Amino acid sequence: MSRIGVFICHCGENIASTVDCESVAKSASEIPGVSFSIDYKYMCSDPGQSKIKNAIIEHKLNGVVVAACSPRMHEPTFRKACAEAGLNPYLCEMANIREHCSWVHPKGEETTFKAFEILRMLVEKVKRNTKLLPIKVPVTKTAIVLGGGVAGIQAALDIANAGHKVLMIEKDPSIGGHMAMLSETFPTLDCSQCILTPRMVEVAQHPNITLYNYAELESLDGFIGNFKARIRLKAKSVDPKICTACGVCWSKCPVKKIPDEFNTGLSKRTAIYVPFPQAVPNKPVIDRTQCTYFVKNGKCGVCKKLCPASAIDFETKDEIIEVNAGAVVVATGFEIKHTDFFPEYGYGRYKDVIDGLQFERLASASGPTLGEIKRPSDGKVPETIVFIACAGSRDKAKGIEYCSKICCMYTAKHAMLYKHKFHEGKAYVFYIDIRANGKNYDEFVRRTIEEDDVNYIRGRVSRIYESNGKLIVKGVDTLLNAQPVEIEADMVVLATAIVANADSESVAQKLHIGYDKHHFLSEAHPKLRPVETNTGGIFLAGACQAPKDIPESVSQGSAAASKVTILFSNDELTREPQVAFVNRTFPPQYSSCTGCLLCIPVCPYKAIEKEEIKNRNGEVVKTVAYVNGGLCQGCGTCVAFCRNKSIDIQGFTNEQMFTEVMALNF
Amino acid sequence: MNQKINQHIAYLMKEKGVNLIISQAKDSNGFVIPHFILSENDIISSVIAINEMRNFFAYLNKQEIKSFKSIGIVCNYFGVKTFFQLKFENQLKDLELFLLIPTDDDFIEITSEKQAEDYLSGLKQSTILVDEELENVKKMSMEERWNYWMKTLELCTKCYACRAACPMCYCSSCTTECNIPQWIPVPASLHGIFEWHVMRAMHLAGRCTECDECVKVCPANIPLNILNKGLHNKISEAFSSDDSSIKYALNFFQPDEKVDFIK
Ligand SMILES: Cc1cc2nc3c(=O)[nH]c(=O)nc-3n(C[C@H](O)[C@H](O)[C@H](O)COP(=O)(O)OP(=O)(O)OC[C@H]3O[C@@H](n4cnc5c(N)ncnc54)[C@H](O)[C@@H]3O)c2cc1C
Ligand code: SF4
Ligand code: SF4
Ligand code: SF4
Ligand code: SF4
Repeated sequence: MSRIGVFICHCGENIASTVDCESVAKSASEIPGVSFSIDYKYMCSDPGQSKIKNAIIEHKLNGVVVAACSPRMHEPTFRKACAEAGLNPYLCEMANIREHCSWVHPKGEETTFKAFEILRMLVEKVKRNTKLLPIKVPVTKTAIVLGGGVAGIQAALDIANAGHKVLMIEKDPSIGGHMAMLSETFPTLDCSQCILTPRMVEVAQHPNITLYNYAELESLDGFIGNFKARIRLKAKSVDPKICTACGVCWSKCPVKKIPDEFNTGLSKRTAIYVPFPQAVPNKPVIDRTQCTYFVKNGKCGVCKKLCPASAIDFETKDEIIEVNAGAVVVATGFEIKHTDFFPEYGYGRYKDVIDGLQFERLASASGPTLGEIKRPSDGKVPETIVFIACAGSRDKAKGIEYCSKICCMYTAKHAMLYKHKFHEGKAYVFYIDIRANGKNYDEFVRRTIEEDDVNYIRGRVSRIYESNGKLIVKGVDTLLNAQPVEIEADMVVLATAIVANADSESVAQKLHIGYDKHHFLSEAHPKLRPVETNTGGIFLAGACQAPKDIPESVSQGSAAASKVTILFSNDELTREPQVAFVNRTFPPQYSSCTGCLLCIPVCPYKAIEKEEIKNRNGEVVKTVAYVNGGLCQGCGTCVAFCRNKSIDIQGFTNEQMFTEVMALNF
Repeated sequence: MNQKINQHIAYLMKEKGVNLIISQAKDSNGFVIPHFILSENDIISSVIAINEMRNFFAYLNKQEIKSFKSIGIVCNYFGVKTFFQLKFENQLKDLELFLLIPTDDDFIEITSEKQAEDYLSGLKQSTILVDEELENVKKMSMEERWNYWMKTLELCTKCYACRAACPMCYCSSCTTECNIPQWIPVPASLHGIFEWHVMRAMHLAGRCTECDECVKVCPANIPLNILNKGLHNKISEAFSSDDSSIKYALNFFQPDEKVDFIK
């Protein structure tokens, strides 16, 4: 026997101004099975909730329908209230008479009638609801941090300091990411490496952190609290445990002409190399795509002969290891567009047209010029330098309509650094508008303009070409009636667009998380869940999500870490029980599932697997599909797919949905 | 069956431990019916042209038949297709099967998916004249089409013979039997009939082997093959999967798939 309580909320005037709530409550009391029905101004308020709780106890209700706003808003509130009064929370449903009715219709009888019909559908559904118990899954208290840039480093340290194990996977030989390449950082101009290196070392030495450098994630399976990852440890050819980093090998390697990635191609490196002197770990690897031994089958081997510790082994192979983890922080960072992306600026043909990262290396005291700004073509100090902000960014025609966010700031920094190093030099900045909205950011840009005398020109540069050893920069000044400007420059720095990693899409697919049209990884909610992804247990940190500066990347690293530690604060996870299940029937059928297993590839969360039903003697009597409740997100794809309706979602069964729809008076 | 097949059947039963052969024979009215061979004594010689042959794979989905474990089945091209599709759908598990396909005065034996694939990729057979009828239906206006199906399907009595004969309709409880909730109305009213046929066609989309068993057994002569073929064509267009492809259009997705049907 149903004893359902119906509670109609006015939502202040939100509902009551178009729906006659009192009359809905009255009509509702006449629906068979409804034993209590009232309306109230704010059902979600404390007194409102108390009305529900009291009614449950007084009238021994075994079902509750709250006709109010969207369940996305207050379903948890009302379910909690019901639970507090001893009613299984899944016997409580919400009828959305606000978004679906009062907000979209004018005041009138029809609107009131619609509100009643929506309510009636839910009453019929609740009659068929069953008690559901939350699902408990164990938690492996180890986190994977993918990417060892500043965001990943922060996340790893925070999680490790909270007492949990961290496995950091970094694809490069060293951690540090882009920040390790920077010279000085806005807005304080502190030396990037000086503040980052201690953190990098801390990661390497932390007893709770295992660092897998030169490694890649092969695959990730499982679900929140229970992931299984396969990690490819790329063959380093050097045993880091034996190597003493004496440096004999890389000083003697005969292959010396490889463009050095860390110095953005402005210097050369050897085939066996440590990417930069402060690298962590500070042990070399052999780049097998360049090493003569590998390219010319077994010739060379100089490093192996000379290594005093016998640490070099050409025979090592990529190794795949399997690890368990409860959470993943994705901190894979970003890439920038390079000068070859810009036909109007010479397609990368002009040596002295460089990108922002190259400028960072030139300005860096440990860089190829030891911090002197010298142009790449002939090593002269440029007397006139032009910076172009928004190179590619905010440009629909280039397919990058978003703002790269950090360029205004680093361009100001670059111009300032140049002026500090070379007072007589002339610096120009072309910009669209200046976005300097961070703590002390605007002051920083003002200083560049006002104190360091950098010439800011508002306008785009249409073309750069070479003439008599100069770079002719042609643009317009939109603050001077679009007057054409032409500058003869010695060097041009493009603040090229920040873009997602080239492999971002495939990384997202491996992790089963979403990405936007520019391939930046997607957060679960842009405002309220900015570090979560749509897949439980996987969090985002840093510029893999969108262009970000260091303070933001670090904050997000800490935010992601706190999400992880919250997750790890329990031994078991409680999950909503609205998951799919494959039915069971009496023998000899056992289940109406025919075991066609065509539903396995349908599930976007890989939650479906094969199950063998066994009899008491352990013999397999039937093969059927099985839904892993920990993985299932209740999307319902499999339910729609299964031909013979063998799958249902708890709380949204075929029967419940059917009844709900059929309750409507067509 | 021809001499050679019969000899082979005897061999399979004697030497290979095959204890059931589903062969084909004609009854007194000239209909092709299954002929179950349980021992060598049951072997008969009968003459059935390859295109007259029927597809009796539906029997292999029955528990009573499955319990024979090692089974031979006489079939034609469509049987091989069915074998392939059923294997893909994880049916026919734990069965040792011998497909015997008569040729002029010899036969082909198929026991594995690999052999089936090779056989199928060499051949492509079309069903009886259905293309022409399908074209006629497609030429009709929407209203004419609607009336055509109303008139045609009205004759259906929901006897479910088509379902029983279909080798791909192997579900142990069909959605038509599901009564919590009752998705498909039970009576053979126009509403119920339409829902049944729309559902049947959708459930077979991309899986139907075009053997036309359903058409052959229908007492009301309903041309179900027009629906089958129509959907088959649609799916081939949308997914460009050829007949022997083992990808099932309705559950197959590639991240880089650029299909616009979903818009
Ligand atoms: C020219 C320039 C100047 C800048 N100047 C400043 C400044 O002055 N002040 C400031 O606040 N910010 C500055 N920034 C921004 C700053 O660089 C970023 O905010 C910061 O580097 C973001 O850190 P991250 O950890 O998110 O990404 P990254 O630094 O890109 O680190 C990502 C790490 O993940 C690794 N990785 C990538 N993919 C994978 C994978 N699939 N598997 C494993 N590992 C992977 C990478 O190798 C890298 O180590 C500047 C940026 C540029 C381009
Ligand atoms: S649940 Fe349905 S689709 Fe999945 S294996 Fe069973 S019958 Fe096939
Ligand atoms: S409901 Fe969705 S997530 Fe759950 S098993 Fe089915 S397809 Fe997978
Ligand atoms: S189509 Fe024919 S065989 Fe199928 S249910 Fe209707 S009458 Fe029976
Ligand atoms: S033609 Fe008919 S009997 Fe044969 S597989 Fe298709 S639907 Fe089934």
